[in-house]
Amino acid sequence: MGKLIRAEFLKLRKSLGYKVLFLCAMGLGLFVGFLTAYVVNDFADVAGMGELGITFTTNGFMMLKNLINDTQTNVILISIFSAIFISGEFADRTYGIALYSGVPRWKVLASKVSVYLIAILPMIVIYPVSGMLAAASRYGFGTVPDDLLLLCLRCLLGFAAVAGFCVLMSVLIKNVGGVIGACIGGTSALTILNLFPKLEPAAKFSFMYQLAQIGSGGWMFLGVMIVTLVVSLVLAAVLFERAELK
Amino acid sequence: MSETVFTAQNLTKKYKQLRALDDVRMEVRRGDIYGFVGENGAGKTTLIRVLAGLAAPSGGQITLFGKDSNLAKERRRIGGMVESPAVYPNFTAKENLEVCRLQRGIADKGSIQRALETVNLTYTGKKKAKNFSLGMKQRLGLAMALLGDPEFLILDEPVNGLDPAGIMEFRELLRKLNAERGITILISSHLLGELFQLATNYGFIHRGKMLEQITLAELNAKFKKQLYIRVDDAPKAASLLAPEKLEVECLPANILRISGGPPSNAGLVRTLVSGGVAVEEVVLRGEALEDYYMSLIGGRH
Ligand SMILES: Nc1ncnc2c1ncn2[C@@H]1O[C@H](COP(=O)(O)OP(=O)(O)OP(=O)(O)O)[C@@H](O)[C@H]1O
Ligand SMILES: [Mg+2]
Repeated sequence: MGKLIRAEFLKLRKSLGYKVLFLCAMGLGLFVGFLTAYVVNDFADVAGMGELGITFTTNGFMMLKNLINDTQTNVILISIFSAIFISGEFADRTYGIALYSGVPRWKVLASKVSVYLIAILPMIVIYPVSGMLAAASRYGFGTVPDDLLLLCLRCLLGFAAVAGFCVLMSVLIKNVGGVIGACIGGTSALTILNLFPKLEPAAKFSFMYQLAQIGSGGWMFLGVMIVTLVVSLVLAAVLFERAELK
Repeated sequence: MSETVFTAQNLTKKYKQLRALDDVRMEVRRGDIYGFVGENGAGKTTLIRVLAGLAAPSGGQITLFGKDSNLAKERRRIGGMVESPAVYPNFTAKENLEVCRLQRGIADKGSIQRALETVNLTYTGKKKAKNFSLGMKQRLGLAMALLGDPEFLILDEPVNGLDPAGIMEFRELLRKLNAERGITILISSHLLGELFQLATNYGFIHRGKMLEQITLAELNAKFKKQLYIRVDDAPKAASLLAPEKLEVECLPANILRISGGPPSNAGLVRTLVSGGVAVEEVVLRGEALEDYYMSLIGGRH
């Protein structure tokens, strides 16, 4: 298993897609950070709020808090990455290389998913951190928010669940474009649920609903995320075990 | 009888209504070069995918090295290339082999260079596999299959895309691997000419059914040899050969076609010459493997 994981890291290191995504996440963080600190805040002052004594100072940690649970951006990053890293190998027919080398299927997927989950971490960290640095360049870092650690843990779990869901989609759909669509669609189906308020009580148990509570969710959030993560990975393993490979 | 490397019993693979493999029985023994022959869509790739673990059979059983369970473990002893070779497109040749090496748990890093040398692909340097020509990809695929000295090499139409010199080199390589390292080889093709004089055993598959498995010796015995002789006077030559119990046919342009297995071509020519017939040209043609194959599937179309 150790060697398989090393092989996956080698693939990651050579993945242009991953590097591009990482740079995008960083660029986006800087962009949002600078835009907020230097343009939006000033614009609000110019709009007269400054005279009322309301000034906008989005300092570093405020920015961090805002970006860390930006589900939309992270879902997009994670789904594109899973499409490239996991479903891309179906298209390249390279899972077969491991299989006819005698690697059991579960090991192929397990090593893949382990490295995939580890690789997601820098991506979802660099986005809020670069935003924080950008904002801090004008207003300093400010004070560390009390609930920062809890928020980080919540995000870690929430995005792990998103990643698990994306693994399932990648194994199910196998096609890069389709996977991105399904992941983004699947995690943002909540907007459609909003159109049917009567469904709200039931929707509370759903992954999409709870994902939107990533900044504040409680036990329910914890439960739904863990269930989503575990069920997605188990289903993905079952599907992969039975998949017909080219 | 030598040890079997691969067997299939009543192997069936269904895709909805289609039986891509229908009750296939097959046997590859250690040391064989098994030529697996069939037309497009006959089921060659399907069988190889089942063998390599890429697809699950719908029925029947396969064994690898005599074992019918825990096949993944036995697959460590095989090396394969299914259809056009799968390679990691963003990797160089060496990196592709490095991933393979890790996946197979081969400790020896020198094996990479040796595999590249075996297939003559040491010159690609930093070029990524996606920019390889088809023939280069085939060579890389073969190098990946050969990494870790497999006992059983499975090649699905491996010479697709190779140039004539490449094909010859490839055949030589396979023959060498078989002779020197004792590697058993299963090689599929729809071009019989590719396999002729390479394979020691043949399996003919047609529409998912195994029609016949035959050794080279049996095949040769079945071949009807045909001798074409151009003479100056065909009717006279035919009458000279009449007592020889041969099938003699006069073709236009003073050509005789003689079949039925003449005991000795030299003797035959001597009979003609001593009878006063001038022999201009003698051509021996075996019934091609193609003809045999066509006669097998004939009437089944
Ligand atoms: N995934 C699939 N779904 C449905 N049918 C399939 C699938 N894979 C193969 N088949 C069918 O199975 C039959 C055998 O295909 P296979 O690829 O094994 O042929 P082949 O002998 O390798 O032919 P070729 O010489 O063209 O490579 C074909 O009719 C093909 O359409
Ligand atoms: Mg084929």
